[in-house]
Amino acid sequence: MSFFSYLVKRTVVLAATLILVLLATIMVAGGFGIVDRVAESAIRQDVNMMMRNNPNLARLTEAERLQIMQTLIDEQRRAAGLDKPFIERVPKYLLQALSWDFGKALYLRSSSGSSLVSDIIAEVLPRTVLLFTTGALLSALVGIALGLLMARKPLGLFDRVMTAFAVVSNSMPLWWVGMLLILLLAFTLKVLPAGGFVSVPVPSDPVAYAFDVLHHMMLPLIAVVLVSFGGWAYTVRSLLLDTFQQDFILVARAKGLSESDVMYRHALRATAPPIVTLLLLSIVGSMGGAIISEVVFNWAGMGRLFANAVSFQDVPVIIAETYVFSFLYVAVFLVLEILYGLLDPRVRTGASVQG
Amino acid sequence: MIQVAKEKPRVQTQKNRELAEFVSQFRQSRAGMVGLVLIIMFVLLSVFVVFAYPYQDVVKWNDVREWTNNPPTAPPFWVKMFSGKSLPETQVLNGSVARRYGIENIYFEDRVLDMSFTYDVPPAEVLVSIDVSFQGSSPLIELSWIKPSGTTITILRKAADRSTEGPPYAFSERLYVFIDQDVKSNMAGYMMSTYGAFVPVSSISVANVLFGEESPRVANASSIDIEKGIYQLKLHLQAYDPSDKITGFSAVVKGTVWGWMGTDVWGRDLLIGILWGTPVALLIGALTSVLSVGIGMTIGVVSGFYEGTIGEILDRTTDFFYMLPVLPLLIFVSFILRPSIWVMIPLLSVFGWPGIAKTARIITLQVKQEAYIEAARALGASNLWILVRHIAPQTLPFSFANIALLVPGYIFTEASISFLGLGDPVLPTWGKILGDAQASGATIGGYWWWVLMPGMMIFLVAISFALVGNALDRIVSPRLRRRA
Repeated sequence: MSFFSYLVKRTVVLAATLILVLLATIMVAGGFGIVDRVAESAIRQDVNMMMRNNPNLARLTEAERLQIMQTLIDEQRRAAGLDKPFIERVPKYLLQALSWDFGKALYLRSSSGSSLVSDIIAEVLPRTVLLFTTGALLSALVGIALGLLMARKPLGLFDRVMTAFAVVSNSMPLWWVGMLLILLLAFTLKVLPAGGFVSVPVPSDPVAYAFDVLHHMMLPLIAVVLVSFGGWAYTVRSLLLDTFQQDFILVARAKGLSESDVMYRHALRATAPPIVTLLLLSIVGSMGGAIISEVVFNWAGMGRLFANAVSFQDVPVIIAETYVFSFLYVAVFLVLEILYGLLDPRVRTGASVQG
Repeated sequence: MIQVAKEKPRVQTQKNRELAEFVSQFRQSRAGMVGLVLIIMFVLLSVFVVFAYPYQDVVKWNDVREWTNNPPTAPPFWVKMFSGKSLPETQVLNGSVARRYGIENIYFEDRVLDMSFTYDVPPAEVLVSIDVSFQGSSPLIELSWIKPSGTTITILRKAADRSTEGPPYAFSERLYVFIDQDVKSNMAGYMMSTYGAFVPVSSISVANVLFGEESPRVANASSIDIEKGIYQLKLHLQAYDPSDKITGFSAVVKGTVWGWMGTDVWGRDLLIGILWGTPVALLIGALTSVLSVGIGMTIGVVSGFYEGTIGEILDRTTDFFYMLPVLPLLIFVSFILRPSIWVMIPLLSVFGWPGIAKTARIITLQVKQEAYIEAARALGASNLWILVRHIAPQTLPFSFANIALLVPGYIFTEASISFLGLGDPVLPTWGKILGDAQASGATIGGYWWWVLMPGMMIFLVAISFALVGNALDRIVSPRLRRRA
C-alpha cells in the first residue's frame, strides 16, 4: 500500500468520523427542540426589527400589526424550512456546519461587533491555539530534557524526585493550579497580570502589542508547563528505558559508541513516533482542558467563549463550539496519522505495529 | 465424581495463592499503601459526613439567606496563629432582660446586651436585630453603644414605622451598623460634638469610632488601637401605650475569621460544602470508572475475540468514541440535560471507555493465541465458555488497575462541569465551590482559603487513587508482558 492510498483511506475514515460527530450533535440539539427554539426566536427578532423600522406600519391598529407580523413570521419559517419536521432538515444543518455557517449568536458579539458565530469563533480560535500549543511544546521540551536526565540513572535520586513530582502534578487540575498561581503571582506578589489577553487600552504599536500579549501569557504558560512537564519527563524516561532493552542499543553499545551517542542518535530517535503522538494528543487534551483554564485566566479564547455562551445561554454559540472542537480534534488526529505514517514506515506499508 | 471433588479445592488453593501473592506485592509498594490508607480515610470521612450533616444541611447550604449571620469571606480561624494578632470570632448576643418604667402617659423599656471584646482588630460587622410591637402612635427607639471606658455613643434614633398591618403593628429592623448611612451620620455628629472634628460621612469608619481608643482622628485612621473590655449595646424604647414592647433584641458581632475552612462571599460555612463534596466526588469517581471499565472491557474483549465483522464494527466504534472531544461534548449535553449525579455518572462513562477497550482488545488478541485456549477448544468448549471462563478473567487484574487510574480524570471532569454551573443542581461539589470562587473574584480578591481548600481535596482524592492505580499497574503490567 502506498503512502498516498494510506493517506486517502485515513482521511476518508476521519471525515466520516467528523460527520458522525456533527450529526450526533445536531440530533441531540434538535431532539431536545433547542435548534427549533433558537431559529424561532431569531425569526421573531428579525420580524420585530423589520416592522419597527417600517414607517408605513406605524399607522396600523394593533390587530392589523399582529396579523402582518404573523404572516411575516410564517413566511420566514417556511423559508427556513421550520414547517418541516426536524429530521428532514438535518442534512441542511449538517451542510451548514461543514461549511462553517453557524448562524447568528443571540447575545455574544465579536470585538468588531459582528454577531455571526463564525466571526466570533474566528476571532478567539487563534488565541486558544497560541496559548495551548505553546504550552504543550514548552512542556514537551522541558519534559524530554528532564526525561533524558532521568533515564541516565534510573532509580537514582533525581529519577525518584521527578517521578514523585510527576504523580503529584498529574493529580492537580490545571485550572486550580492556575487559580493558585494568580493568588500567588498576581495578587500577593503582583509580578504578573492576573488575567486577560491584552492590556486596556490596547497598545497600537504591533511590537508593543506582541510583548503585551506575551506578558499576559506568562502566567497561564507557567501553569500549563508546571502541571504537565512532570508527566512528560516520566513518560519519556519510561520510553527510553524500554528502548534500552532492545537489541539495536546493545549493538550500538557493543560498537563502542559513547553513551551520549547511544542516547541521542539511537534511543531518542527510536522513541520519536510515540513522542510525536503524545505531543499531538496532549495538544488535543489541553484544548479540552482550556475551557476552564481560560475562564480562570480570563483568556479570551475558545474556552472562555464556551463558558460565556453557557452562562448567557447563547445556544448557537454552544452548538458551534461543540462543532469546532470536534473539527479540531479530528484535524489533530489526521495530522497524527500523517506524521505517524512518515515517521514509522511499518504503518504505511500496512505491517503490524502491535509488536 | 470423586476426582471432580478433589479437583475443586486445588483450584481454590491455586487462586488463593495468586491472590496472596498479589496482596503481598501490593503491600511492598509504599506509595500504593499510602494511597490505600488515604482512600479508606476518605471513605470513612464520607460516611461520617452523611450522618453528621444530614441532607437538610445541604439544602440549607444552598440557601444563601440562611447565612446572613456569618461574616462574608472570612478566612478560617487558624490564621490567627500566623497573624500574630488576636482576631475576633463571631459572637451572638441575646438574652437581654427588659426593664420597664414610665411617667404619666409615657412608657419606657430598656434592654442591654453585654459583650466582652479583647481582640486586636474590630469585627467585620455588627448586625443588630430589633423587633417592636405597638398599638397606635409610633414609639421612639434609641440604640446606643457604651464603651468599656463609659463613653456613650448614639448609634440610631428613630420612630418605629409600621412594617405590618395592625394594630398591633410590628416594627422590625435589621441594622448593619458598619455600613448603615444613618449610623454613619450619627458617628459624624458624635465626632463633631465631642472633638469638634469634622469628618465627611463618606470617609467615616463606624468600626473605628465604636471600637477604637478615644482620639480626634479615630474616625478615619488607617490603623487604630482597640479599646478592650466589656461593651454594652443598649436599646431604649419610648412608647405611648402600656402594651407596646420590645419583642426581640439581639446582635451578631461578626468575626474576621470563621470556622475551620472560612466562609464564602455569602457567609456560608465552607466546611459543610467541602465535606459534602467528599462522598459526591468518591461516588462519581468510583461508580463512573467501574462503569466505563466494564463497558470498555466487554467491548474490547468481544471485539478481540470475534475478529470478523463483529470485531471490526466494535473496533471502529471504539475508534469513533476515542476521537470525540469529551469535555466540550459533555458540557454541551450537560447544558441541555442539567444532569443530577445519577445522570452524570452514566454520561461520563459513555465517553470514558474507548482507551480501556483498545487495551482489552490487545490483551484478548494475545491470550487467544495461547495453548490452553486451543486445548479448551479441542475439548469442545463453546466460544462463550472460553470467553467467560478463560479470557475475561485474564483481563481482571488489568481492570482493577484501570478503575483506580481512571478516577482522578473523572473527578477532574465532573469538577470542570460543576465549575461552569452545569453539575448536580443540589449537591455541593468541589468544582461548584471553585466555580463560585472564580465568579466572585476570589483569585483577584485574595480569598485564598476559598480556592485552596476545595482544590486541595480534589488533589488529595486524585493522588490517592493515582498512587493505588500505579502500584496495581506495576504489579499487573509485568504479568501481561510476561504473557506476551
